[in-house]
Amino acid sequence: MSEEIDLKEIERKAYLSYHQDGLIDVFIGLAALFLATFLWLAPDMLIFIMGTMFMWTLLYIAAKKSVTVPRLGYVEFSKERNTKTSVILLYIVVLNIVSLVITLWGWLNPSMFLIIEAHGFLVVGAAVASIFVVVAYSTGIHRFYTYGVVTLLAFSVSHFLVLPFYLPILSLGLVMAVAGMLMLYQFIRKYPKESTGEELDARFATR
Amino acid sequence: MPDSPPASQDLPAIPDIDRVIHEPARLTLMAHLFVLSKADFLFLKQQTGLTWGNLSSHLTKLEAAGYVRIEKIFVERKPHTIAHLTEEGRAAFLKYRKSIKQVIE
Repeated sequence: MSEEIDLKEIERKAYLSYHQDGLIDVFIGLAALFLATFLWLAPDMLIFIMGTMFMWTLLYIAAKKSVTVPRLGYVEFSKERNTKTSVILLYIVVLNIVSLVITLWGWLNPSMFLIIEAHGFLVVGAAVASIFVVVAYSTGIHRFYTYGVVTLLAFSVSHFLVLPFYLPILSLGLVMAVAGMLMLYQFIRKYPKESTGEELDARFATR
Repeated sequence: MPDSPPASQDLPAIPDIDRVIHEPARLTLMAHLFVLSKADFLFLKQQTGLTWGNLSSHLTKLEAAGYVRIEKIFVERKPHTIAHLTEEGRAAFLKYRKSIKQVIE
């Protein structure tokens, strides 16, 4: 049993080290700031902005390859780890389906929709916070629990103080982007770019 | 008074421990490769804390034993020399864990 625990710990440490660069925090934070800015300045362009969310994913992947891989190395995690990541995506899909069902239900039942609309901040805040909690639980990246709490706080405060909708998103974006950049700075200091062992590569390349 | 039997007869049978794996650095490498699908040298070095020299030496031994396969792949047109356990390596590691558990218990 102790061997089992040690192997799990090794895999967990390897996975967590791959995400201590803060890049995912930076890009989610920047995406939230981008969204909040457009909600504030050009809310009519919201549909267009949602389409650009995919761009942040591509930027994140590119940053991972140019920042993390040269410093930490290249790794492919096991199928079990990839399954855990798939759980997160599945949850987001389910959440979207639930949102669609609620929207349709609200369309058919306007009185219900009014209740949801009156508590929109809390509903959205709870939904987004739950995604962070699922991410934290599935990946073991515990700082996402903190982001969940920040989300709930930001949306709750905005609900009770009747603040504009973009403000809690802006707050969350700022917190994540700044936290991510601090982590990135520490990561770059801890893991300077080094040679990938060209001599080692050369030795094994002849085989 | 009869002679007492030789001490070795009192010892329980200790299963054969795989000496290729039973070395701290190689055990660490095998454990990492067991839980990961593939990893390049830099990642293994960062995770295990081994020097390039030690990494080379131990990976060579593991490859010679048939436990690890080392190959060059291209990721976004950049070469990476990666290592992964062979089926034989996985089986040997599982057998090693069982042997150690027997010894401890």
